[in-house]
Amino acid sequence: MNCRVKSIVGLALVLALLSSCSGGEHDTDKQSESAHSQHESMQMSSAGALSGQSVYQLNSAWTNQQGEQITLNSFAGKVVVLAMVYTHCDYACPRIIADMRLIREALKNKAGQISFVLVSIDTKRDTVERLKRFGEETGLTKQGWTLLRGGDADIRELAAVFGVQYRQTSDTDFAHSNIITVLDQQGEIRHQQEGLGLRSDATVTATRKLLCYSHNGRTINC
Amino acid sequence: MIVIAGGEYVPLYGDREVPVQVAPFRLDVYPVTNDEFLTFVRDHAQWRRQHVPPLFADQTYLSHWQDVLDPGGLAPADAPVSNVSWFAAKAYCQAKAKRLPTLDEWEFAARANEYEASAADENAFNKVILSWYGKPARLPLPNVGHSFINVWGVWDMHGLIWEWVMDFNSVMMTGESRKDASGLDGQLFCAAGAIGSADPNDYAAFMRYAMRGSVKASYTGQNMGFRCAQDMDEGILGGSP
Repeated sequence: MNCRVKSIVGLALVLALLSSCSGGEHDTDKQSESAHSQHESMQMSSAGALSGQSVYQLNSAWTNQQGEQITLNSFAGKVVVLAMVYTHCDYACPRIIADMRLIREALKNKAGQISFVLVSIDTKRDTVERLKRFGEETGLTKQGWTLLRGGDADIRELAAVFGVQYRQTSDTDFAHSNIITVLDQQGEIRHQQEGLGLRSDATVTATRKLLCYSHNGRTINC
Repeated sequence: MIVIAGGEYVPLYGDREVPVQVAPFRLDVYPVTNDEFLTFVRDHAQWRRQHVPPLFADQTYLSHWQDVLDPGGLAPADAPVSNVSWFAAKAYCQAKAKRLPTLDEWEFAARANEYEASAADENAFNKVILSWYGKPARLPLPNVGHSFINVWGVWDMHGLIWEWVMDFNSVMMTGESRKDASGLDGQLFCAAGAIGSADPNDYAAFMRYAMRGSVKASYTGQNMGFRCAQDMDEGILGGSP
């Protein structure tokens, strides 16, 4: 039997079996809308507390390219543009990083308000030294770039939060989703760009929107 | 818990010439029950359904329980807990000094039938699994110890619930690093090619992979539960038999 047809039938059956699952689509616009309303209601009820959608509820510990220990909530207050990659990757990751550079370039007058974060999925080879050297070799040394390494379980959890799928396919390679995630200042997922070779306009727009503010009823800086 | 001696097996994904090594590990004999999970949410208030943040569990989390600390008639004490997210399952196992099994560990243990450790090529075995997949789950679920005990001494690997694994999100349904961004995972979907031709018995496994690739960590389902595992060098602390 044609494998693709059979696959689709199988998948449909599986989805039917799991019909009590809510959601199921990967519509990030919807996700960010609901995150947004959630966020507003949370802010009204308890100012200052993390919203129920905030990624900063994770208390995992990470190490940056300077060897400093950080938790994710150290990015709170900034907009975060983040991807999960590995530095020995020679195909997809350079393109993800190139996309992030373009996003940074498009928003360079706001660069001080945005953190660009690369989280490694390669615990073995992406040591602090490697991350530091990789950052220097690829010009990610400007302010605002952070490269992180962490433990296997914490990486798996972070990937689960972002809907990133990955698997080690050999001693040297990983298969992984190509997703750039935008977090707002409170750590809620507000936009995701999935796939390679796409224009990043929507991501730039979504990121810029998060840096608007209201003044006397007018929206400024969009 | 019971020791699964480990060994090698050829998973559905990846290079089918190269088996994956599974190190010895311990696995719960039964899926985690409503009663066990009730004790957990009593002790860990942040996992009660009115407290759990939406990042960690969706709206149907424990929704079939009669009340926050009363599972009630749709969730009998010895039936497997369901409507739990991956985060909740992970937190439960952590609280027992255990962890969720990896996908490879779970699949390795699930290959066993009543008589042999590797029954994945048995037509009859796969037919039974597939026929269960075809049946809609009704609440209340049957008590654990329902379907069969496999040769390792583990109950209900098939025929009762779907189970979370630690790296459920290692199943690639879209955009892989070395392929273009458009397609389904060729390795899975035409490993899958293998399913179509070489080894129709993989179809049951394919169903599980497709399910894992389609869920998110906050999802809950009324027939989706879990059991815990443990490394061999961890002491056995608390928890299930």
